[in-house]
Amino acid sequence: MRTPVPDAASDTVSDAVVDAARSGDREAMRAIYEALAPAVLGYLRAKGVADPEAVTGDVFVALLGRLDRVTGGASGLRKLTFSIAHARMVDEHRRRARTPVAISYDADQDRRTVDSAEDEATASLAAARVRGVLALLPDDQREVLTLRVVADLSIEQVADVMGRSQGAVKQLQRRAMIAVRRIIAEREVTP
Amino acid sequence: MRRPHDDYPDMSRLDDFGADSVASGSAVAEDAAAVTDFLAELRSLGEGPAPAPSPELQAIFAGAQPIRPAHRGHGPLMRRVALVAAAAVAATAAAAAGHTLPEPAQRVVSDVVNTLTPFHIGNDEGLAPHPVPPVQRPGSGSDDGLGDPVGPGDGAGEPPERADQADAGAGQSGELGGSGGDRAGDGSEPGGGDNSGGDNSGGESSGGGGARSAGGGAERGSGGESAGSTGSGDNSGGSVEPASGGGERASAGGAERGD
Repeated sequence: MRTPVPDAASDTVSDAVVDAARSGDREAMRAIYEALAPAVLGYLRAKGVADPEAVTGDVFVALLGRLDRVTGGASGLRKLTFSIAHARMVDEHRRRARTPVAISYDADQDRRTVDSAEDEATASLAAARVRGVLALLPDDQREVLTLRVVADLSIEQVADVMGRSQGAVKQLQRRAMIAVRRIIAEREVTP
Repeated sequence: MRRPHDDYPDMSRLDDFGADSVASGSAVAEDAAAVTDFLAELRSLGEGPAPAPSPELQAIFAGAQPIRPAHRGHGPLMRRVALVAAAAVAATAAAAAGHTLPEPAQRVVSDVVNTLTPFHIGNDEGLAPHPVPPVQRPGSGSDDGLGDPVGPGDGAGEPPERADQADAGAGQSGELGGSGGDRAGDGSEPGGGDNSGGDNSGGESSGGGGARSAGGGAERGSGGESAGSTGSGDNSGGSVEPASGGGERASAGGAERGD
C-alpha cells in the first residue's frame, strides 16, 4: 500500500520576516513565534520534557534576544531555534536528573488551551504511541529522528545542532528507521 | 541509482539515502506502512497551533526589549586561572616557610622567595648546606689539606641558627657557613688536631654539626690553633664558643655578610 506523504513543511518564515525581526519589528517577532513554536513544542514533547510549553517560551525568549546573531535567513533562524531548544532540552533533563520534583496538577493554573475531548484523546494516543516507540531508541537515534522529522531540519542542520558529522547523522538516521520498523513489528506480534 | 519517491521494498537493506528520503517524507517504504504512519504521527507532533506565549514573550511582543545574553568572554576563565595559580604559589610559599617541602624544593623556593620578595625564609634546622667539594692540594698527600685559604675566611662558619639571629640575610650566609665549617674541620687536621672533628664537619650534611666539630678540633690541640691561624678557626669559633679571636671575627664577618 502506498501512503500519501505530505510534503515537508515549508518555512512560513521568510528571509524578509527575519530581517524585519532583526530590526526590532514586533509583528515579525510574533510571526516567527507563531511559525516555529509548534515545531519546538512538538520536539520538546517528543523528547519527553516535563513542561514543554514553559520551555518553549524560554526558547523563544532566548531566541529573540539573539536575533542579531542569526545568519542565513529563515533557514539559519530555524537552525538557531532548534539549537537553543536542544540545549534547553538537555539542561532540562540534567536538572530533572539532579532534582526530581513532582508537582501536583492544578487545573486553575493551567493556561493551555485544549481541543475537544475527542481530539485530545486522539492526539494523546498518537503522541503516546510515538513516544513509546521513541523511548526504545538510543538517544542519538531518537535525537536525529526528532530533529529531522519534527523540527524538519536538513541533515546538515541536524549535524550542526548535534555537533556530529553529516555522515554520522545519516547513519544514525538509517539505523533509527530500521530500529523503528523492528520495534513496530515486534509490537504488532506481541499482544 | 535511487531517487526520491523510489520505493524501498526491503527496509532491512535501506541505505542512508533511502532512509533520508523516507524520513523527509519524499519516499514511502512500501512494505513498511507502519513506519510511514509512525513518521506521519511523529511529524504531527510539530504541527498545530502555537502555544499561548508566556508573560515574558507577551512583554516582548508588546515592545519590551528582549534580554540579550551576556557574552562569555575569557575574563572569568582567566580570573579563575589566576586565582588558582595564586593559591598554589601561596600554598607553596607557606609550605616552604614551615619547612615541610622536600629539601631540594625547599631550597629552591627559599631562594626564590628571599630573592624576589621582601619576605624571608631561613634555611635553618633540617636543611643541609650545599655540599662543597674538598679542595685538593697538590703534593699534600691528603684529601683534606688546610682548606681553602680564602673560603674559610669568608666568615661563613656561622651556623644557620646564628645566622638567623643575626639578620635577614642569614639564609644565604648560613649556607656559606656550612661549607666554611667543613673546611675548618679539614683545616684542623694538618695541625695535629682532631681528625675526626674535621671529618665530621666535612662529611656531615648538617652545617651546624660540622661547625661544632670544627670547634672541637680547635679546642683539643694545636691543630685548633693552627686552624685558627690559617683562618679556618673562624668557622669553629663562630659555631660554638668563641675559641679564638679569629672565630669572633668570623662571626662578625658572617653577620656582615648576612647584611
